[in-house]
Amino acid sequence: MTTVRIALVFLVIATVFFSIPAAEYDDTASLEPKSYEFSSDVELWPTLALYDKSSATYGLKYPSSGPGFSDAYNGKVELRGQYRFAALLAKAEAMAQAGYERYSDSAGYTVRFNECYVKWSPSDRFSALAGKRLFRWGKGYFYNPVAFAGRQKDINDISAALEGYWGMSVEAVRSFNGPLATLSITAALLPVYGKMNKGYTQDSTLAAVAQTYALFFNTDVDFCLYADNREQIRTGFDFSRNIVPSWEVHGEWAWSRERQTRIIETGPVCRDTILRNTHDIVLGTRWLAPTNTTFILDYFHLGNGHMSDEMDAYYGAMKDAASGSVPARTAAQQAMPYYAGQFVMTDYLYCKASHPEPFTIVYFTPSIYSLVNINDRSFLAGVELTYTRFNHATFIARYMAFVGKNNSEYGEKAFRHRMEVRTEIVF
Amino acid sequence: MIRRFIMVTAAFLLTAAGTYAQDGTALLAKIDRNLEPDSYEMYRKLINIEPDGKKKEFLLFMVRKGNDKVAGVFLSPPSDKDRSMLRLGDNMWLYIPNVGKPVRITSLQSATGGVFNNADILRIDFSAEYTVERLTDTLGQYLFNLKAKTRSVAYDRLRLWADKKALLPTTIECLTEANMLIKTLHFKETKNFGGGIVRPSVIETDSPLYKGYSSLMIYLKIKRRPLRDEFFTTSYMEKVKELRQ
Repeated sequence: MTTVRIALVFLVIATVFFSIPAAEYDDTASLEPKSYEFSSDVELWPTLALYDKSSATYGLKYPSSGPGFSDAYNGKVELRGQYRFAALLAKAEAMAQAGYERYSDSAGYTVRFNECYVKWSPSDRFSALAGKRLFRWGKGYFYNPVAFAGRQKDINDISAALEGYWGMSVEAVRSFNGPLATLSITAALLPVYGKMNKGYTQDSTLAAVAQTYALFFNTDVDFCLYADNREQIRTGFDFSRNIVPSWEVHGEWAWSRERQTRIIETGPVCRDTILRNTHDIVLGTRWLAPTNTTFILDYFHLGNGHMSDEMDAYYGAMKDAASGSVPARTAAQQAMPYYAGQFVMTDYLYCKASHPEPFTIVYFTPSIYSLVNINDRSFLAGVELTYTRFNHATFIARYMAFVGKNNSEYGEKAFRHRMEVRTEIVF
Repeated sequence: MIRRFIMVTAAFLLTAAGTYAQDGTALLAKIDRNLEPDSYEMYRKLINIEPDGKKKEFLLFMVRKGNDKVAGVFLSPPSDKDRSMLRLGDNMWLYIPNVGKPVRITSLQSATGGVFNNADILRIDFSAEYTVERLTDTLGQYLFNLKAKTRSVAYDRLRLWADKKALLPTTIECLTEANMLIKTLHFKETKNFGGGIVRPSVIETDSPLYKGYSSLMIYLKIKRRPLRDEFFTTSYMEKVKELRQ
């Protein structure tokens, strides 16, 4: 029944997709602003992944025998609307996402508001907001430890819209003449009770976050703070500056008083533990070469990342689980939320090179990139091709390879190769 | 006697040259003011034209204050809608709604693809970025040879032809330091925008780097408008479109 529902969702999406007129964009847009706005977009991205049958993750997922590849069909619809009345702005962005995997004949869907708020701007220097809003702080390309009120980017699609948090916030901004050109302050209260902001913190709490931004001597500088009524404190800063016009450097540092993690011990059993005084660091640079190729290099250190021996214990538990050990399966599954995220060890290096419009193919940008786990020397390497010729559509093709030895992060991923073709239609 | 004559003549010529350069600077400043007021809002269309005649159009709303503050937001096409750009001195940022935060960009990158780069979109006065190396007075036109004041400027050299009577540019050649031509801008269709603003409404651009491609920048509306400094901050980038009146 679920499959039928998902198929219907895809049918609707496909109908919308193929009913888009092929005609060129006709600019009849009025220059007069409207008090209301609506827009929407539809994304479709079938994926094909080739499994690594010798990996620990694959063994845990398919203990006896399983497929050699997985093809999945994903779709997403986003609806955005806003209405302005005097100093008030009401804005909402809703998202419905569905996916179907053929081998397991399984489907799932998510429906949610990414953002939904009312903002009051009585002056050009001050605004207050109530509702669901995402604060995307930090300068790192991939990883943002100072994003205390945000969510981690998806490494498969780092520009994807993310879900915000419910709360109230105020923002004030001033400009000056002199070395300090801009100063702005943002402060927010984010309650975590019941279903509201579930997952933002482990327990119910009232969290306060603040960010002070300054453009000082042509350098973007942010100071960020998190505190809650459980006496948790996190603080940090970030910066970004163009050394010369074609060369930018950026960095982030964040300190946390306490963070909870989970490790696997002999048994195997899982144990929750508290890490104190952890530091997260990002150091990165972006360089536009004279050939018009942009190079990005980001190093990041995670203070709550796992050590090699902890990872070995986890992979050992997964392999034992695949061999039929029930305690090992229980331990591996309990540990998974802390061991199977996007960044699980302590040190990573991200590098990317992109070259827009090669051979005068306008609107076409090929990129290559790699995310390296410095600790175990495994890595993922990818190619991305983007084409933005059309007024309503963007096409992105991606290929990723996961490379690493046994007991390494990318060597133990279930997939060896992953491909996707993403089509985004905007209305 | 001869030595004295040579020295006096040289001193005279140097003074004359200096005065002429100064005149050139003043003339260039007048051309800047004739093109755009000091503080304004503007709607303009950017059109990339491909060799087969196909077009991609962008509609921008822009505001500018003085010589170091420019902000703009794309109103169309839908795939670029609500992307905003900010220039504050030599600093430039791009804000993409999904990314949700300003990202530093450089003048030579292109937010639109094609012949236009970010410096073309977020341009400030010529006299703020260039010094007049030489001014040539030709029949009906001035020819300014301009050199960039700093390395942060997109084009190292410009050759700017301006109508002597209207004091408006007719053609600009953008060159590298080695005098290699990057692009040529042709100013056309002078239009009265009201409020004393009379300027070319179309800039046609071609580039030897994009053979067969050309671009049009069409000015639809320019209006003098006092603007607050706070509009030109990274915090305001997601709200630039709210400045439309």
